[in-house]
Amino acid sequence: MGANAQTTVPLFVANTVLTAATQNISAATGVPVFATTVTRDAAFGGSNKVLAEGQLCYLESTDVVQYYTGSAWATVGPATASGLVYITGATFTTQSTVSMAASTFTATYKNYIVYLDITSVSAQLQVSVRVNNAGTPRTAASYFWGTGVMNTAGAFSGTGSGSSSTPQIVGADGTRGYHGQINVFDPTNASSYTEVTAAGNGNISGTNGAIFGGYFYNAAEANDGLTFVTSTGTMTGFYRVYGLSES
Amino acid sequence: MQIQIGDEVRDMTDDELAQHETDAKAERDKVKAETAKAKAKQAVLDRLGITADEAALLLG
Repeated sequence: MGANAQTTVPLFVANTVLTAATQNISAATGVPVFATTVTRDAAFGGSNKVLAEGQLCYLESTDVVQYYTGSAWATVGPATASGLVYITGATFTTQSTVSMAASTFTATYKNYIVYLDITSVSAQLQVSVRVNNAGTPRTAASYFWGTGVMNTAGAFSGTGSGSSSTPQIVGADGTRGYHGQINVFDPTNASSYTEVTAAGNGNISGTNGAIFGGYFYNAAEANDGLTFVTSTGTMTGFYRVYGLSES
Repeated sequence: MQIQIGDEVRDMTDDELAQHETDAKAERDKVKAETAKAKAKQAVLDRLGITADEAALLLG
């Protein structure tokens, strides 16, 4: 319990003696400070002030400011993160292998979005997007993947494999690079396969266009990141990782 | 040969280098197979005397 925390919210009645200690409780803080919700609830009623709508408090246990609606306590702030929550990112220059650090994906979020922006490459290349297990990319031939590219004439061509170690769902050339979004579904669930989809603009095997790809890694396990591996040459760009808040 | 993990760039370990070489060989084999397949396809088209677009029309 901090120096400002109190256990009562005094109620003054006629002839009550106002002591320095009592005065300091409210004068020192303005808003009553409590260690927990338990001490907060115990501080009102009885010989203390009656809890009523509009009452404010600060809770040390959760570092939030609350107000009483008349029937319940509601939190004023700080606001909890919601929607897309930025987790990490990195910039890479002329690399053939770029891996996320261990524990990039955690149980904090169920699903993740990765923005991958390859701004230049040494030559036309495909990029395998592997899952990481405890920070190390899975390299078994257990990726069930498919990728298609639609060119500016609307023609669609695809490739894929039912047992591969190189899920090439991203591709780039020197003119267009690759600019896309990768969705990672429930990667830290140890009892399900990690599913990954990607959509972006780039180049697959010499064809420029809109690229759609996806895979699952054929093992029920918790994975904690991705690794990008070029089929040949190097790439320059950056990635950003976001967790999807449930609220 | 280097690898980037998060923001850190370092030399590959022996295992990572071995995997890189395995990946490179697999890619070479894949490209070789695709090239052979494309050549075989073109040879058939040449024998028939039609283009790939015309073949697609026939099969469509």
